[in-house]
Amino acid sequence: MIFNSCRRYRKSFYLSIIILLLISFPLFSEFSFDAGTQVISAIPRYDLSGSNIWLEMSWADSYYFSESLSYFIDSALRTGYTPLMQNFEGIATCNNYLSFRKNSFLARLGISGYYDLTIGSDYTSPVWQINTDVFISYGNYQFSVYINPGLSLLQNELNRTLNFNLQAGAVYALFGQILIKPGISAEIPAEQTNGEVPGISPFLNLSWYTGIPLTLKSKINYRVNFPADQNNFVLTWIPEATLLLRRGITATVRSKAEYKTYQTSTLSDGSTAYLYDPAFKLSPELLSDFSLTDTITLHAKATLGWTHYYNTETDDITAGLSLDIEIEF
Amino acid sequence: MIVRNLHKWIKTDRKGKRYSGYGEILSKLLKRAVKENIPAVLLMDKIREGAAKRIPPQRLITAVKNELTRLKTAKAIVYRQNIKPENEDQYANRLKHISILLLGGIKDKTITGLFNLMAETKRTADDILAACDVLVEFNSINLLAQDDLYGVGKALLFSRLKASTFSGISSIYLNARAKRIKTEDILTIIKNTLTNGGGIIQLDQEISNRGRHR
Repeated sequence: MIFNSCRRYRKSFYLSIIILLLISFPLFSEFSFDAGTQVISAIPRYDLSGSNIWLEMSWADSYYFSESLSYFIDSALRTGYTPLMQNFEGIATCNNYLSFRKNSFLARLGISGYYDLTIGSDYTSPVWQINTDVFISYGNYQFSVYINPGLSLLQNELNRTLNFNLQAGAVYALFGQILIKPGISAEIPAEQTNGEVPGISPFLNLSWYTGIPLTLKSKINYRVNFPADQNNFVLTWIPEATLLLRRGITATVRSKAEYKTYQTSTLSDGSTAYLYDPAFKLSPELLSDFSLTDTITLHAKATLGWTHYYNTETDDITAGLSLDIEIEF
Repeated sequence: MIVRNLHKWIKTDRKGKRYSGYGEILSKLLKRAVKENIPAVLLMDKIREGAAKRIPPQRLITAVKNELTRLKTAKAIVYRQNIKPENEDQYANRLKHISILLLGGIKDKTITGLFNLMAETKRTADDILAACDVLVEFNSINLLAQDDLYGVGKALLFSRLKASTFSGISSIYLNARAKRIKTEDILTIIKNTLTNGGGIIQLDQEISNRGRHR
């Protein structure tokens, strides 16, 4: 009884905060409002439980204290409503970056976080995460090296996890248009309570900023999970093309292909559990932006997802379509 | 000579016959170009281009008139900035290039303003035109104010980038817009990064951590 009462108060508290934020957001100068709907269904089954309508208030602004020192903030509050209004989803995010660039040197401090609360008919489950990282780069307009250490702290319903991340790499500009970006990243969880395992990922990213309004990108990432053996890895490839169809209309075609073997985790009692099975996943996306006026943009996104599980020889196919209108103030 | 060619083309060419009742008006425009010391072949090219696209005669005449106006402005810029090449073909190409910039929404004052930076930036006339080409690409993505275009052009000219690599900046601009970064912000990032000696690598770094949602 007392527990139910507390839960009701918590729900009211969260809703009050959200309403307060919704009211106060327009007071900021670089405010934008976004309203949209997302329809996702399994194929051939018809299941719209993952679909929702949503509203988002966001505020992004940059402050240039000098030509070298700048600060960028991007915060948003997104609320989603599932069919029949059974669940209320809310995510608040805030990203802060303080950059110092002088000639060949760039140092950027980033602090970001999100707070996720979902209020359903029978539960309230806040999850929050805070990330902080430092990006240090040195180089000229043709070659640059960087290092990017970071920490992330995640609180879910049961556990709190601290992760240490480190990324290092180089960027080489070819013909002034093509960027070749080899690098390596490592992820080391302080504890493995939530199934996180240490991993190391060499990667090779390419960006081609062609001379016409067309950008081509490719990201290849090979993650080896620890303890390493020959069958514990994730291979990911993401090709992407962004082009201008006509003034005010852009389109991005992107596809993610991922092959992963199994992933195990050592539980507190010393036993080993499988977190996921070997699978191949392919998820192409088509994103389009239509600038209706200087301040109003229609965004459309069509997605397709196919996952093949090798152990069970089963397939999951989903299709999704989302539409939203963004209004900048 | 060029007027005679026009009449011959209208009489004999399958596409030219469509404009048989408009030969006089078109030849007047060609004569006016010759009188203005503008290579009439540029207008003739425009007429042929319109005919290939099967543009109705009245619309073609309007297009040729507009082209003549742009070429006059281009000629004024060339003489004012003292950048007239000796070679006649090069002169015609330069006029045509500036005419395309004007058609792409870059105003006379913006082009002139950037040419005024030639000595200070130690850039050639071709470098200035390459920077202006990028501005046309920016304008084709979304219409920008002339002051904004001038600011980007100026940053390009003062940057360490070679003119042959300017064109990649328009793709970066498109990419940043696709990431939903605000236009004003993108322009400031481009200007500050280039002014600080950065290039495409540094612009890529700046943009990659900003795009929301995508």
